[in-house]
Amino acid sequence: MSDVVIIGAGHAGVAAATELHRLDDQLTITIVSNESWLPYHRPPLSKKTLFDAQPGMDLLQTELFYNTKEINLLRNQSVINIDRQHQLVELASGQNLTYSQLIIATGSCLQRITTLGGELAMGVYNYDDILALGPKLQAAKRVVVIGGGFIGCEVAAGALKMGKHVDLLITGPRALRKAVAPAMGELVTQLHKANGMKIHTGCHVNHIDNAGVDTNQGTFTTDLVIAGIGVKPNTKLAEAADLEVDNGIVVDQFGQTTDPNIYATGDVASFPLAGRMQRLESIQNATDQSQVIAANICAHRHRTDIKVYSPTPWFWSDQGDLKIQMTGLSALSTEQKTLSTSHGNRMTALHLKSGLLTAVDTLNMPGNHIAARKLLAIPVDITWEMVQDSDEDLKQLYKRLR
Amino acid sequence: MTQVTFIQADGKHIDVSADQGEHLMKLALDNGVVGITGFCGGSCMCATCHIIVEEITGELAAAGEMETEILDMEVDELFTYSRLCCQISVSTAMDTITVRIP
Repeated sequence: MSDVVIIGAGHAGVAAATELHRLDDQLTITIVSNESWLPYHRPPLSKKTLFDAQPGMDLLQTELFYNTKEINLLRNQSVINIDRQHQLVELASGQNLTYSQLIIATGSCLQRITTLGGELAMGVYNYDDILALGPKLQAAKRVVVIGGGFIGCEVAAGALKMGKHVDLLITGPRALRKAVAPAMGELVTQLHKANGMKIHTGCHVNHIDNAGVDTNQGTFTTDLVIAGIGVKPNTKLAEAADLEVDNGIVVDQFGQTTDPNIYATGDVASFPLAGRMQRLESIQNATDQSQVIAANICAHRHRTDIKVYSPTPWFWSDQGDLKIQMTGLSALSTEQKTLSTSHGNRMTALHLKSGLLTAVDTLNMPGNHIAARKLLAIPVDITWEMVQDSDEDLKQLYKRLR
Repeated sequence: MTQVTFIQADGKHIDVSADQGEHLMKLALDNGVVGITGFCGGSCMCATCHIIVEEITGELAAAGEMETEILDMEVDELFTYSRLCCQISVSTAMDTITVRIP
């Protein structure tokens, strides 16, 4: 019997355990992981680890953390069922774990290429993927990367830096089409090309075989195919348990699912933000949402005040020498403006909706990213005129408004 | 080898020997130093690995633009020798370093 059972040992699951233990060190917590490793940092996998001859691992917590009498990490275990009526979780091993509160932090899994030969394309999601892919990448001379989102661009840029011939196949008109302002996506595409990456836009894969990747633009011969075409949330357990699922496990602003004893957090959770349901795949979201949920579980147990999860989202991507940082919700915007301080491989793009600032993307301009995070977090509507009145200096604007 | 000492907020000293190239944040996490979280895994994004350099023998590279900006905007109480320890890697030019967690 644990007070809290957490399914999933990624950033969200471990952040929840860490915060629960910090708030109440008497709570008994069981974390169920389907991996064999101690929980580790995931962002470096596609940004750094994959390209290292000796791939390392950065742990989220030392082994000591899981060896206390309150915290129990079960590795190599998979959950097969959530029995809400009896408040227990059934493991494939036959063991049952009862809970007072359950946190579902099952994350997401890779979308696979469905065309013929799609299984030949390797993916990057966890450390086992790195162990499988790393030696093949070291040995390859030519690499085809499919997908122009963050993972595709990070992997392509890293492979290019290793001296590989890299073909990056993108279905859309430019890299990072869904993630950043059009002008920035275009600049990133051009900068990668200038470094020698072969970027093929409007490129659709017909099939993959051992000779290469056949597309509407011809066949790309290659030693290795890597795909980064997105993820989908791991919602099966929640669906089977009859929790509400709609592009993720539906939770309220407190992180609670339709069952008051069950919470969901991280990639898998769909929560209300800025007037609509959002699912965010990021470290910021995994960490901050888990901290709020941990606080709310403790509040529930001790009958104290609960917290609302209302973040200013932020994301980042490292692609060779390019550091791309985003904050806010750019999907809501209707207009983009580029700051005049942008030049060379530096750019700041603002997203506006009805004349108000909703998100900011920066390329190699970290000061503006941090300032934008601060600006979006204060309860003041920011207009383009206010930005201009501060000489388009976001830091100056924040210092004036705070 | 470089001798690294972490002084926790509770006053406890944790001494670690480090090889060239190792990051102070990873050392702190691997040795269970309390007060260092490093949510972003050392990407200089989150300011949860703020330390104050107390003493150093040898050389320490200056903070870069990203680190300076994060410190300036994200850290509430800034000290003269505030740094983000994810951005400090041990070099052969560094014999000892002592850092305090605020």
